[in-house]
Amino acid sequence: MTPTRLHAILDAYGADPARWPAVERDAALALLARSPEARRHHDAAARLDAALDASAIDVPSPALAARVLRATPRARVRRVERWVAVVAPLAAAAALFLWIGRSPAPAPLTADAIAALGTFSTPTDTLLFSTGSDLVDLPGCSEGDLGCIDLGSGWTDESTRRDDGRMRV
Amino acid sequence: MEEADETLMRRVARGDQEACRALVERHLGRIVAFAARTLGNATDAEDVAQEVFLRLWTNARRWEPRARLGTWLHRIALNLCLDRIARRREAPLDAAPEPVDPTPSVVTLLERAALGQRVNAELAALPPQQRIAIVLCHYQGLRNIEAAEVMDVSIEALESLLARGRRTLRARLRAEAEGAA
Repeated sequence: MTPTRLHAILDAYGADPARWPAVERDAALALLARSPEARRHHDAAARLDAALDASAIDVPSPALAARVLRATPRARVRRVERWVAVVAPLAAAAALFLWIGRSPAPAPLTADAIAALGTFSTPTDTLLFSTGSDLVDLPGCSEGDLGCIDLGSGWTDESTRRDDGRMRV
Repeated sequence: MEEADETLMRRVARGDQEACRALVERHLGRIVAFAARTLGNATDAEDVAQEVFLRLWTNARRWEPRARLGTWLHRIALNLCLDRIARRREAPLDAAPEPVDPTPSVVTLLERAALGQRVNAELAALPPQQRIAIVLCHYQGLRNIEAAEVMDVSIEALESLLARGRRTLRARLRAEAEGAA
């Protein structure tokens, strides 16, 4: 460590050894201890440091910390989730309302329309019987080892029961 | 024991709100102070700090501990400050900081608070690179290698900026420095 280098350190980093380059600190302190000229230079640097330390900066407002934390990724996701929870049902309701509003209203059933339907003279039962369809299994009757459950005549008309254990309806 | 920044960053990447809060408590004040001294404006400083942390949250998953988090935050803050300083240069002159009256007879009467205001004004009047070097090393407490990394300059260049800046400040604040000692 030379006096020139020590002066350069004091000029650049000031009087506090904590700010000096770590690798040169011990040597600089040793030179400072034995050099009156270096101490005068050190004192001048300390006066400037003291003036610089008079500079105060306001503590950041609590509102700033709150704003910063509101911008974290998870906080943003939560805000979106809350927004969706509120807006999605409203949007669905609005869409349903619009769909209903846009559907054509049913035409009124006029006398002419009723006449156009004609007259049905055939009973519906007869129509079904003639097709031979609509056969259902009677409970238990197709299972020989379980036996046939007698549901009684009150449950169905025996005339509709067939040999295969099925019944017309 | 205080949790390391690197550990907190891994938790931030997983969406841990407590880790986010810990980083804000640890670094927000320092970044605001750095931006305030660099820009000379508290409102702009808060805007810069908010943007710095927004970038931190955005890049948390990609962040790798190649440098200390504090150094990385200062680097981001510095870039944002330099953008604002560049925009000010394009703005009309009346938007620039008020020139400081260097009359020693007036300065010697100032109390410490007033001295602080004057120091801030003198810092603001320095060339940006000199001001940034002093703010990083004197106020932010960064080691010379960290400050040089933030500024993307060599350590020799950093020392030159520091020495020139301090020499200018000493000349302008000679009376205040003698009074404060």
